[in-house]
Formats: sequence, structure tokens, C-alpha cells
Amino acid sequence: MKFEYQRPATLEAALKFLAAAGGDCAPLAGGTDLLVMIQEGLVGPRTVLDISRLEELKNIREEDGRIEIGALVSHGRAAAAKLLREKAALLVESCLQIGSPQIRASGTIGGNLVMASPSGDTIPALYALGAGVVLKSVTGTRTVAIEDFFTGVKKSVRRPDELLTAIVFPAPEPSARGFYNKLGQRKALAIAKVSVAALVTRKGEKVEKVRIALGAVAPTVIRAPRTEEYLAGRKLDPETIAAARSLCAGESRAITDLRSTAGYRDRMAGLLLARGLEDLL
Amino acid sequence: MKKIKLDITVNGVKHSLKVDPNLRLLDLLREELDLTGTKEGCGIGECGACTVILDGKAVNSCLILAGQCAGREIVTIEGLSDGEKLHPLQQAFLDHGAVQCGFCTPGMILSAAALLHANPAPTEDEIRVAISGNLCRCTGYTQIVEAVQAAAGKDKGDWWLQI
Amino acid sequence: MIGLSPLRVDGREKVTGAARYGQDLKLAGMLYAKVKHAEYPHAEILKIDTARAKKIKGVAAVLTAADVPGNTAFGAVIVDNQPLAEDRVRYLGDAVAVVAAETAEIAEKAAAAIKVKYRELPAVFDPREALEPGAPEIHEGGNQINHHKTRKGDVAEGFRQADLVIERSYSTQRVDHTYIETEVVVASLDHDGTLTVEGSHQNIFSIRAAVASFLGLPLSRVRIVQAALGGSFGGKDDCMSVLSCRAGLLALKTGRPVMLSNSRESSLIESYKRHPYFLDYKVGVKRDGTLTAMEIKVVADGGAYASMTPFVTWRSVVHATGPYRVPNVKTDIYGAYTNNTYTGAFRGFGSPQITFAYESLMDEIAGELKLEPLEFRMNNILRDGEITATGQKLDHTVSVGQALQAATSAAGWEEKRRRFSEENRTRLLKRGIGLACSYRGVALGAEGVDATGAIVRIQSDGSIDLTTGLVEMGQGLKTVFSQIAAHELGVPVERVQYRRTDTSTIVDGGPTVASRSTIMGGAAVRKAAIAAREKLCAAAAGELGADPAELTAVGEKIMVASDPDRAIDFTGAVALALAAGMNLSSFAWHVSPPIWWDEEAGKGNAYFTYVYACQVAEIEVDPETGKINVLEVWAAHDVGKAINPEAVRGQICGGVATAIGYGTLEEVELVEGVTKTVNLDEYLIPTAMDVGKIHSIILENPDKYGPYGAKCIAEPTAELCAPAIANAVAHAAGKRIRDLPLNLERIVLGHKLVKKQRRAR
Repeated sequence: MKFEYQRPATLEAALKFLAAAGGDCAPLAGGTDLLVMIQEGLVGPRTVLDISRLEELKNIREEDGRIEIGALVSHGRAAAAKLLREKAALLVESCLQIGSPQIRASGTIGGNLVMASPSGDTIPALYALGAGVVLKSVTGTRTVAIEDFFTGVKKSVRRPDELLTAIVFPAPEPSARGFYNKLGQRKALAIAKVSVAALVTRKGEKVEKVRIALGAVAPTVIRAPRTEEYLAGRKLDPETIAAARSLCAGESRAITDLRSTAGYRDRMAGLLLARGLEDLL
Repeated sequence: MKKIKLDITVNGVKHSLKVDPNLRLLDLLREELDLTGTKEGCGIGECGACTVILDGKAVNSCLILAGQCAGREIVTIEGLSDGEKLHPLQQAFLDHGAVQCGFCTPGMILSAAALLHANPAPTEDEIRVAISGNLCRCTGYTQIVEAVQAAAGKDKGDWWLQI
Repeated sequence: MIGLSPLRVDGREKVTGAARYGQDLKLAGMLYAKVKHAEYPHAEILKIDTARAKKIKGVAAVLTAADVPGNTAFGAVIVDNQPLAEDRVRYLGDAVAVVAAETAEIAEKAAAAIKVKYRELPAVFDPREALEPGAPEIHEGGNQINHHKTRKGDVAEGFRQADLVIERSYSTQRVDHTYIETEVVVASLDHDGTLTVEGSHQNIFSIRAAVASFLGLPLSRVRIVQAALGGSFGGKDDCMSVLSCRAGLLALKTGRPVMLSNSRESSLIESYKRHPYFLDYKVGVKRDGTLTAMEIKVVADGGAYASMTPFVTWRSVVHATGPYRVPNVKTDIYGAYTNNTYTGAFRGFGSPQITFAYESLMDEIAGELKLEPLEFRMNNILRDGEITATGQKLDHTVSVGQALQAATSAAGWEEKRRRFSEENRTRLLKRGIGLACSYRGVALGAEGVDATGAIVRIQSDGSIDLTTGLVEMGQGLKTVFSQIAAHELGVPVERVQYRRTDTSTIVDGGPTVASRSTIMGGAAVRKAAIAAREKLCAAAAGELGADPAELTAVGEKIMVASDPDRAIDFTGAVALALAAGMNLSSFAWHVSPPIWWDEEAGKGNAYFTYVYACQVAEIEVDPETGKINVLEVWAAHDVGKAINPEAVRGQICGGVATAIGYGTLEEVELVEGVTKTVNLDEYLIPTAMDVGKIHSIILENPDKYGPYGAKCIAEPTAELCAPAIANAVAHAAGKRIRDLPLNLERIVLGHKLVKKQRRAR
């Protein structure tokens, strides 16, 4: 672990530093992933830019029907936030599924996205919420749809001069219901073998809109468009759910690795969706 | 490598230090301040042996850079008792047979202290969640959970506010 | 004092963070060492180029096998383990060189700068393939480490008498001890030429033997000292010898103290594991449920070095039938070398594997016969005075039936067994309840001489020093031994100071293994304390006007037993003894009762006594995801006599949790010798949320050979819960899983997580 350490006092200073560093610089938010990766030699930045103290990136607020979560909000704080508990329970659930209390106290929402793991717990929930990722640099600010943010395992469109500063998503309609279902080998400190998040909006008895995201079954978290399309306009009943289950399993593109097998993951993707939908009945 | 300047409070004592930028909080405590009650078991935040309390919250000191702690308050296991009288959690761990090899014990006690700080009357499930980031291979957690329950039931004085 | 639970004598230093573990040691001028590991699981070493590493600033020494002054290999049973590989590497945890430098970073850099030229050799990773003709030979003389057998009656005849012959195969996986403290030593040279190695040692005398032989030093010039030990479970033995040899060599060559520690990654790659077993059982049984014969064949994966494989598999061969009355038995167990991480002692020592097999099997047979598993067992278990599979007549209280009854009645067995079967028809999550029982030979048995010593020294102020060669590793040995000494001397535990374990303070009393400490070491402490008491009584007799035999030590007094008013306080008696020129240091030696084993005939009186136990697991399983929730466990263990019930409970709860991990979570994944689970994010042990409620049920049938009737507890606790869970899963979901662990994929899909490995390449 050899690197220079910088702790800019403001976001502006941080962005300036990033612009000047020319890429060989890793922003440090919670550090729960980055420091492991540095210790394991997976990354070796010349400089670690400690942004963990930038208070301006620690707000959670709702404005004009949009919820904005600062990138440096810890998973623990997000899970305890009244606004999120009321309006984005699936995100709260995904935060509670992360690591351990210690990891949740340090690790941040923004950090989880930047690390871009296909098994990152908050990511499917944010897909389901239709979130956007705010990226800032000295040259400007852009918001990228979360699905366009990830390009592969541990890869995203974030440029080296950019900081992920916030996550925004439309406040779900009061009638919308969502869930985050995860399967891990144990009950804490477990990386997802497979996870499914969904947000369902209903009109009367019928599904008006649904967004489904699958974790750990592809190089990035993915949507399940065919399943979504199938569900739209239908009544949630056991038959529909069974059909959605097998469609969803078919949309999973899992591989076999240390943590699970492809066959199991594909099957579970369908099952976890079905279980979540059944709970909405 | 340029050293960085750091003011931190550990167990109520203020320190002004110059440290390597890559120093982890764990190393700062163990190497610079000789507070070796904080243990290292995995270095990647999975075992919890290095747990300390940072501004009231339990954290893995192996995953925090010393620099991140500038101006902040840290409590380690050495800061829980006054040297003579044990903290109620420490006493409960003794009374309930919650200690075996003792290597996880400091981190375990600090996770429990952070819990009681936020939630003075936790349920058994809440206790198990609170210590789920602290692995113990000796006890099967049974007596640890009992000890935390017993300490939580003790005198609701301001002892946990010390953290 | 006996049967009470005073607070741990080493508790205060542990809850305050004051206890000094290996990683906390710091000596002036200390160097830090790093190892250069092998790059192939099996290869010939052609050349080791250390020139670049030596040139790095801050490097004090770079050493290889060529620098070893003594024997390059050690081994408690078979001498084959090389702390520095000489001409060949046999697994990826082997070291080809070791570096000492001013900082750990420099040492790491230097280790990386060492260049090694290898000629890769064909490797073998499956122990069954390793035993086939033509398999790559890992050690001279072939890959068979050992073959143990038991023979009783005539199995062919037994199968003829059977109405039903059932054949089943089981397998168990490689698991890691996962003590939360990884291995660490600090070696330093005293001015008198004594080499001291302090660290996370479990077995100080076997480590001393290895270091002395490796460095060509007499035993008297090697001193092994135990630091506070952060868990061991059988795991800090051979791998500590390895670390101690390497660090000792560096200290000898540099003249400076050297710290060598394993990171978690190194620990998972380098240190030995529990043996994977492949078990084939063939059982004959009559319609009425009477067992007629068992034929058992087991192959154990010993990995690259023999370590404890010969003894681990011997314990397995003795116990392979379980605690059952089987008239005809033929068991063969083979230990095999492979190019996997080597395997050795781990709490249970060859029993968790076979218990998983025979207790799964007992449920399977009961199922075939449409009998209840409990009833079937009750009809076949060993009773007082009966003969074991090795031909041993049991001359103590055989309490397996009592344990079965105690655990099942506490669990509400019969009612739950019925009710869950009913309710499961309509439930999504299936409930199940399963049990497993066992018997277990106490102490070393016929592995070898079993003897140990203790020294009780009474100081002039009446404080007491207690010394043995056995170690505290969390199990509570210091407390139990202090209780025994305090009890016999009639003083409070606080008066006794258990000395840190150090090879220079007492003669070799064997290892702290085989759950032998209380029964062997406790007996030695008791004898030494009684001898010390007798001296005080002799000294006080004159003053009290009584015969020494009439005196006793109670309540910090030496008194006339029949007339407590005639008493003198403890310190007064000490003063009288010293004034009379008496020696208040008592050394006692305890040797185990006679046992024997005929390796050729496959029979014998394997152990001088046995313990019996039963555990019941209640689980919930999600048949669609395979997720198991262990809700409650009832564990009934006959310990003879619980000297410290709270410590016994701690052992039971800990052993159960370890077995829950073994049963449902853990597996060190090796692919062609490469460890894939290199840290605790991949190697998963149970968290507090994964362990359900554990109920300890202590049974006491005092044993004539144990101090106060005490037998043992540490290991039997860890051998039962995996099969109890497997049986509960079968009850809940109707699915019989014959391979460990019962992870999610296996329960749903029925097969292993990782694809089968390729054959030898």
C-alpha cells in the first residue's frame, strides 16, 4: 500500500485535483472496497483522494418529486433515513443486506456504484427505482441513467476526472411497491449469489409499470425487459407470476464461479422475482 | 512519500501525529500508539477483530486510513475501562463465560458498546445483527449474546455515553 | 470449587485488551520475515536466484534449504515436511526461500525479487487417483501414507445373515480452522546461545523438536514460549513448527530477533486443513433392525505432507462403525499424498468425517426398514460391558443411550418428528429435526505414550505457582487447572498463578490435543497439589498436635478434619514448612492406564475410556433455494464430571457452531492445487446470525480414570451437528445429501459447486 494522500476541503478542490491528476488517482469514499483492492494489489493508484469528509455530499433530500442521495451517504445512514424508509423501502432493504454493521457504517452509496460489482447490493434497487447517477468534473455536470453507467465488471463510464456526487431518482408513486431479494451463502457478510429488485406500479388490479433488475447474473446488473413487458397490463395472479418466473430465469445470463453455478443462479433469478411478486399480492 | 499531519482523539486523549499517508487506522493504533488491544485477523473487513468506535459508530479499523480520522474521536478497548473498574460490558463478558481465546473479544465488546450506545434495550435479534461483523470461532456466540443482554439490562447510567 | 464456575483466570486481560498475543510482540532490533512460496503444486527446483533480493536495501538475509544446518525435514510421525523446500515443491504453500528485512514491506519486495527455475512435474489432486498404479509419486515410496484396519468376526457371514444389504457412499470436504488470530512467531537468540521462539503455539514440545532438529541444536538450547493464543482447534501445530523453523533459522543467521507471521491469505494457502474423506459403507441388517455386518472403505486426502494423517485416520478406523453393536466388521482406511494443501489435526481429528457418514447411514437404514431413527439406534447402541468394533470390552458407564434420551426429550423429538411431517405438506419452508450420536475415545489412545506432568510451587507468602506443559487456547485450561490446585490446597483460585507455558520450565508432557488436558493434565495437577498439601499437613501436624493424615486443607486453613477449630492458617503452615527446611515444590507425573493396539490384526483396547454424546438439530429448509436455517440445537454430552460447567457449556456451544459451519457453509476450494478461497470473504464461517439457539445438556457419569471422575469435552462437540443437520434436511425435504457441505446449490441441484477437477496432468 504505497500512495500519496490528499484530503481536499471542498468538492471544488477535489474536482480540481482530479482534473490535474490525469487519471492516476483513486477517490476514497468509505474505503471498504478501495482499500481492500489496494491491499490485494488489484489497483495501485499514485494518489488516494480522500473525499470522505465532504459534507456537501452527505445529504438526502426530496425536491420536486425527485429524491437525491449524496454519494457519501453511508449505507447505515441511508437505511435509517426516514425519507428512504417511507419512499424507497427496497433501497433500504438493499443497504441492510450489505456486509456487516461496520461495513455499512463506512461504506457509501456512491462508492458501491463506482466499484461497479455485478453483485453490489444497492445497484439492482437503484435500477428498479430508475435512478440516475450524477457525475461532476471541473468541466461540468452530467447525469447518466444508472443502466448506462456500468460497462462491465468493475467498469463504468465515469471518467477519471469525474466524481460521482449523487444518485437521483423520481420519488415512487405512493401506490408503487418494490422489493429487494438476495441469496447469499450466509446471513451476514455475504456477497450475493443472485439478487433481484423490482418496483411495481399498479393501476387498479393491473400492473401499469414494472422495472426488474437482476444482480450477479451478468457482467453488470441487468434489467429483465421481456419479463417487464410480459407483466405490463396484467393482473398479478399465480399464473402470471409463474410465467414471469420462467421468463425471468431465461433472461438471467449467469456464469459459474466460486460463489455459485450458472444453472442455480438462473433458476433463482426467476424464483426470487416470483417470491417478491407473491409478497405484493 | 510525504507524511501527513494528524490531530485525533483516542480514548479521550488528544494526539498530534505525523504519519505515512498509507497508514491504516489499525496500524496507527497498534504501531504508533501501542494500543495493541485492537487486533488484525484478515485485513479486509471480514472478521471484525480490528473493530473500534469512530465518532460513536463501530468500524473496521483495517479499512480506514489514518488520514480519514483527522479531528475525530476514537474509542478502543483500552478506553472502555478506567484501568480499575471494568465497563459493564467487559464485566458481563467475564460473568457469562463469553470469552475463550479472547482474540475477537475487544472488537466484539466494541460492536456491542456501539449497539447499546444507539439502542440501550436491544432484542436478541438486534444483538446478533450488531455483532454479525465480528467473527468468533470459539464460543458459538451463545454466551456473547447472553452477556450483551445482561449488560443491556444493567444500570442505565451514562456509562455507554462514554463512547 | 470442583463443579463451580469461577471467572476465567485469564479473562480480565482479554476483556481489557491487555492480553499479549503473538502479533503484539515487539523486540528491539526486530526484523520482519516473508516467505517465497512455490509457483507450482508439484515441481522440481532447478535454481533459486536470490542475488537481486539480497541487494535490496534493508534486507538482512535471504535463506534457502541450502542454509539449513540440521535436518531439512521434520514430522511427528513421518519425517517429510520441509519448512524450506530442498529440491522439490509438493504444494503451493511450500516455501523455497525466506527473507528477513528491516520492514515487512522490504521483505515482501525482496521475496518477490527471488527468481526460481522449476521443472514442472505431473501432479495429482484426487487421493483415490493418487493411490492408483502409475500416479505421479509425491514422496519416495509411493503415495500411500498409511493403511489402518479393524477386523472383527466374518463380514461375509454377517452379510449372509442379513435380510438387507445397504451400500452408500459419502464424502466430506476440506475445511480450515479459521482461528481468528493467524499464525505468528518471534524468534530471538539469547546471549547464552539459546534460541527462543515465542508465538501462537499449540504444541510447544513438538515445535521444539522440529526446530532443534532443523537447526542442529540440542533440545536444551531451544525454548518455545506460548504467547496468548487466539484460537487453534488443532491447527497451530505443524504449521507453527514450519514458521518457527524458518524464523529460527533467520534469527540464528542474522543474530537479530525475527518476526514471521501469516497473513490470512498465507494462512489459508499454507496451513494444514481437515482431511477430505471419501467413504464407502456396506451394511447388513435384519428385518427387525439388527445390524449384522459393516464393511467400510475410506480414502483420506493427506495432501503434500503426512502431518497427523496416520493418527487422524487411526482414530477414524477405531470409531468407523459408530457406537453400535456390530458383530462382523471390516474397515480399511487409507491416507494418501496429493499435491493439495496438506491436512492434519482439526478439532474432531478424524471423527467429524466418519460421524457424518455413519450417522447419515443410520437414518438411511432406518428409512429403508421403515423404523424410527431413534428407535433403530436404541436397539443397536453399545451398552455397559459390551464389545466395540475393535474388540474392546467397555468397562465404564456406556451412556450413549442416556445421551440419546436426554437430547431427544429436551428437544421434544417425537412430537416434532410427527408434527413437522404433517405440517410440511402445506408449508413452503420445511421444518425438520434430526439427530446424531457418537462415542469417542478419550486422550491419545494407542497413538503413543500418554503421560504428562505438573509442578505446584508454594511461595513463602502463600501464593501458588502452577506449571504444566499444556496450553491455554481459549478452552479454559488455566482456569480448570487452577481450580483443581486451589481445591486440593483449600485456597481461592485467585491465589493460584498459572505460569505461561514454556518448554524451559517443565519436561515434555505431550501435546495439548485429543481432549486430553483435563483427564491427563488435570490428574497431574491434582497429584502435585495433593503432594504439596501433604507437606503442609506434615509441617502443621506438630503444631496442631495431630497426625498429618488427620489434617485437611479447607478455607485457607490447614485443619483437623474432625475438629475444624484446631486449625492453622495456610500462610502459617507455609512458614512452618519452610522453617523445617521442606521443599514446597511438588512435581507430579501422570501416565495413562494401559491400552494396546495390534495394527496387523486390526484390534485392541484403543482407548482407556470413552465419552458419549447426542446432538439434535432443528432446522428449516427452503427447498426451492436450498437455504438452511439452523434454528435450535440440543447437545447432550457425558463429560464424566464437569469441573467447570460454564466452560463445558462454552465448549459445547463453540463445537456446535463449528459443526454448523462444517455442515452448511465451509469449504476450502482447491482447483488443481490452487486455493480459491484465500480470505474470509470467500471462506465463510458462521456469523452470529447463522448460529441458532444452542442448549447444552451436561451428563455426568464419573469415570474411574479421571480426576474427580472428569473425562473430556472439547472435540466430541464438533463431530455431531453436521450429520444431525443432514438428517434434519432429509426429514424436512425428503432429500438425502451425502456430501458436505450442505450448501444452497447442493440442496437444490444435488451436486457440487465447482465442476469436477481434471485427472492428473
